[in-house]
Parts: sequence; structure tokens; C-alpha cells
Amino acid sequence: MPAATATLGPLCSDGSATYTSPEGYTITGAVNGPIEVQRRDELPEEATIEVNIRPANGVGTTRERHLESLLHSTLRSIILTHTFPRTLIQLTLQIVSTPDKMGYGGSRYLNLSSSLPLLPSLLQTALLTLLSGAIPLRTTYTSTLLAVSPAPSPSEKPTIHTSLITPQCLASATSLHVFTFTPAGDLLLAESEGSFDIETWERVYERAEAVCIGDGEGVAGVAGEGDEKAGANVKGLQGMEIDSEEEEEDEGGVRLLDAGVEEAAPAVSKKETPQNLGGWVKGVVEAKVKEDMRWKNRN
Amino acid sequence: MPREAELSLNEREFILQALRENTRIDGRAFNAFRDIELTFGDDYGQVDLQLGKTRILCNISAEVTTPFPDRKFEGTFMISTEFSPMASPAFEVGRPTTDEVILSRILEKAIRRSSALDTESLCIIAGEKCFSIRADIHILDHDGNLVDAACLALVAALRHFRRPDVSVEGEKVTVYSLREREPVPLAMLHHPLCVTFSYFHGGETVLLDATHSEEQVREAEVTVTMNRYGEVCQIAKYGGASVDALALLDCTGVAHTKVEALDKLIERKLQEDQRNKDLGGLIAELSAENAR
Repeated sequence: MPAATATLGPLCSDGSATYTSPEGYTITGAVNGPIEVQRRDELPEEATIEVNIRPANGVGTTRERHLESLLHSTLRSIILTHTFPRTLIQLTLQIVSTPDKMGYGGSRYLNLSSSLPLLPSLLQTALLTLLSGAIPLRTTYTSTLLAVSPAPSPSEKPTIHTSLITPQCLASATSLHVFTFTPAGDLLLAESEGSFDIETWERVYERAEAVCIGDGEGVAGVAGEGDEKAGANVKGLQGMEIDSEEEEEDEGGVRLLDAGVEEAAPAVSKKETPQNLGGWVKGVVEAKVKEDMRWKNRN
Repeated sequence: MPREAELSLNEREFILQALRENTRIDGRAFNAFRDIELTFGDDYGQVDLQLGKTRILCNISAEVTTPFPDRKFEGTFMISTEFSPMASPAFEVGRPTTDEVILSRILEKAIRRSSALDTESLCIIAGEKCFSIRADIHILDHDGNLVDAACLALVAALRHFRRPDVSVEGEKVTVYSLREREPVPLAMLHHPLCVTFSYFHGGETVLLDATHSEEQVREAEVTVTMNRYGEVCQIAKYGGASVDALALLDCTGVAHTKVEALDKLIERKLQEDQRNKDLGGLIAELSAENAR
């Protein structure tokens, strides 16, 4: 399975990230903020969040507006908007490329023209962009897409596909589901499409939880740390501190605490291959911090 | 939207004084371009161009539509340059700035009106069906000289793009997917490229490929579009200080050498990309193109 890849800080804006999902969606995100807000959008008690999604070809349609509204409501509950009243946090997500679907019948199947397969990649890019831009967050999150295809025989249960959902898989699926979890295990977003019953949904929910935040076995440490973090709130991101007031020495805003350097280093060696998506996000940010902080570790 | 942060008086003076002493703030020669990085995507017609810190993404797409009733024998070609807040928070969605209007006009004249793309070759059935080619230019990062960068990215993308093959039997048209038949390159008549000259100190200093801060202190700019044979497609000058007519002649000479170098760069990158895609040397067998 091709792994997801991400680069933090490829652009000059306050925060930016490029994310490529295993399915082949490549998205570049940029965030500017907190900046001056226009009078009509100004909120007296919190920061205004603006999300722009731009398709690779053509102009945005209702599909992009719908995705924007989903992202907006998710991010609004994540970003500590109350710390920046009367300002604007402006997030732009540019879809660079999407996997080729024409060879599989194009729009003949409803699922192939659905907006759900794009949603986890957008959410993941948004998170990495916000982390790169040092926007204070309440918590991080991870998001995944699951497809349910009909059972091979009537006696069995429908099959759930979790990783690498190919266009063929999408075309044959009866329902699609997107789940987003915080590291503490709270459900942030659940979007479903197609026909399914509540029993299937519950099975899908459990699988999604395992993909995003681990099944409590090999990755128990992550879940435990997550619990701690939920209490610590702003402190956030497992041994790292997000600090926007600090004058940054370099690009990229996520910064390790002095104590965090020692703490984070063994954590990487402990889990060289991240077992879940949360571990993957952590790995990406740690790699970037390590690169930016190499001047510090030299002596 | 917030206004873009303007250069302070000290910064302006510094840049101008340095230029007077024959030095650019990034240490380049006056007629040197910044490093160009041209990468093609996995799909046809996808280009990521980096000119210094300026970064542009160009995407070409094709679909079958009905031609305009007054141009029955021609396909349609459209260039879309919409700025997003990604490049700078000063760009607002749905409200074009003057930069955006100028960029789209210059590209329109440079590529469309110089008929770089042969739109007649896009016709499938006269008056009924034709290809509609759309070029989307996304500015990811803005550090000056958008015109030259966008034009370079667009020409590279058009040369890289392949449209699906079609066959016509009477009234019946079959469009083959990329898997069924090897797609066809676009018919391009020539490859025009833009070179922008920036003028300082009343025309005494002339710079090529100005950065964003240099653009903010310049007095005038002239964009020359030409192809590698030295045929001038346009000379655009939108206001600013006056420039000596004889100096313009020098400009075309300098532009010619630059365009030749840029054209060679695109050519080299296209060949590299073709070699990477041509695993096992099967592309030549798939092509139905006649030898010329």
C-alpha cells in the first residue's frame, strides 16, 4: 500500500502543507492568520474562520461549497477562536490532483462523483496546515474514509474497506462513510452516504476508530497520551507546544519544548512505523520540527 | 481583506540606491532570471513551476462541447487566472484585483490572440461537436513576475497536454479514454513566451524578472512576448513612466535570447518527462502520428 506523504511549509504564507493521500489525492493548503477581518465578517468575541476550497480544474461549484461548510464547522470547534476576537483565520485548500476515474466508467457510478472520498484528505491537509501555521488548536484530529460493499453471501455481513479505497472499490460500494476523531476518542465528524442499516454503521464506526486512533493494543500509548492532552487543552500535541505569540526563528511554528526534545526523541524510535493515523500525523510534525531545530541539537 | 504590506520608505530607498550601485538585493545580474524549476505531474497537462519563490500550478483539461454558432469550425480555448488568498491575503475570492486583470489580458493576447493553439484542430463535427480546452492557472506563491512565470507554465502545460483520441463515423463520435487509445498532443503553431522588463531611475536601470519588492518600486514595465524565431507577438505597456522607443528595440533583442533559453528549458523538461513515462519504449508503437 502506498503511504500517505506530507510536506510542511512549502509556501511563503503563515502556514502551509502539501498532503498526498494513499488513494492519490494531492492537496496543498495555506493558512493566513490571525489577520485583519472585513467589517461585515467581524465577530466581536471570536476569530472568523474562512475556508476556501479550489478545484484543480474549473471554478468551485456547490460541491466545494458543501465541503467548505463541513470543514468550517469542524475547524470552528478545533481552533481556539476565542483567543483572537475580531480577526480572521483564512484557510485555502487547493486540490492539485485527483486519481484518474475516467477509466472506471467516470460519472456512471454515483459514488465516483461523490464528494466524500475527498473529505478526509481535505481535513488532513487542513490540520497539517494549521499546525504549520502555529494556529492554537484545542486538539488535533484524524480522519478516514470507509467504503461498505455488499456481502459476498446473504449469510455474511457486508465487507468494510478501510485502507486504499480504489475507484473500483468506490464504484461497487453501497455506502461511504467519513469519520473524524480527536486523539481522546471523541467523534468530531460523521458523514455517510448511500444505504446502510444502523448495525453496519456501528461496525463501520468501530473500524474507523481503530484506523484513526488505534485499537488499544499496539498503540495504547497514543490513546493514553491523548487523554492527558485533552485535560491540558492548549498545551496540546504530545510533548510539543504550539506557540503563536513567540517570534519564530525559522519558518514553521510548531516548536518543541526544551524538555520535549528528550521526550519526543524516544517516542519516534519506539514506534518507527505509526500504527494509526494519529501516529502518522505526529511523525510528520516531529520530522519537520527536527529539521527546523537541527541547529539547536548540534551543540 | 487586509491591504498588502507596503514597502517602507527605507526599504524603497535601499533597493533604489543598491540598483544605482549596480547591485540587486538578491545578488543577481540585471538580466538574469531566478532559478526555474519545472515539474510535470502524473497527469497530462499538469505543470508546477517555481521561479524563485513564485510558484504557479497550471492544469489543462478538455471536454467535448458544442462550438459557438458563429465559429462552427473551431473548438474553444479558455484561460482562467483566478487569484486565491493562498498567494497573498490581499487577494479576495470573486473580486479580481488589477494585477489579475492585467495578467489575464496579457496571457489572452500572448497565447490566444497570437493563435498559438490551433483551435480549428479541436473541431470534431462542424457546428455540432468540438473540444473545449480549459487552462486553469493557480498562483500558489507570489514573489513577483507573475506574467512571465504564468506564461511559461501555460506554454509548458499546453505542450505537455494530450487530449483523448476521437473517431467519427458519419454522425457518430467515439471519444476514447486514455486507457483505450494513446491520447493526442494539441496542435500548436508556435510557442510564445513573455519577458517583462522593469524600469528604474527614469529608464536608466532595466531589470529582468523583478521580485515582488522590486516590482513595488519600479517606475514602468514593458512585457515583450515573442517566440523562439524572434517573431514579436505583443509589446504591452500599461502606463508608468515613458520609455525611449530605441530602448524598446534593445528589449526585443534581449527578450529573444531569453525566450530561446526558456524554450530550450521546456523542450528539455518535456523530453525528460517523456523518457520517464516511456517505460519499455512502448509509446512509439502506440502513436498513430504520421512522420513529417
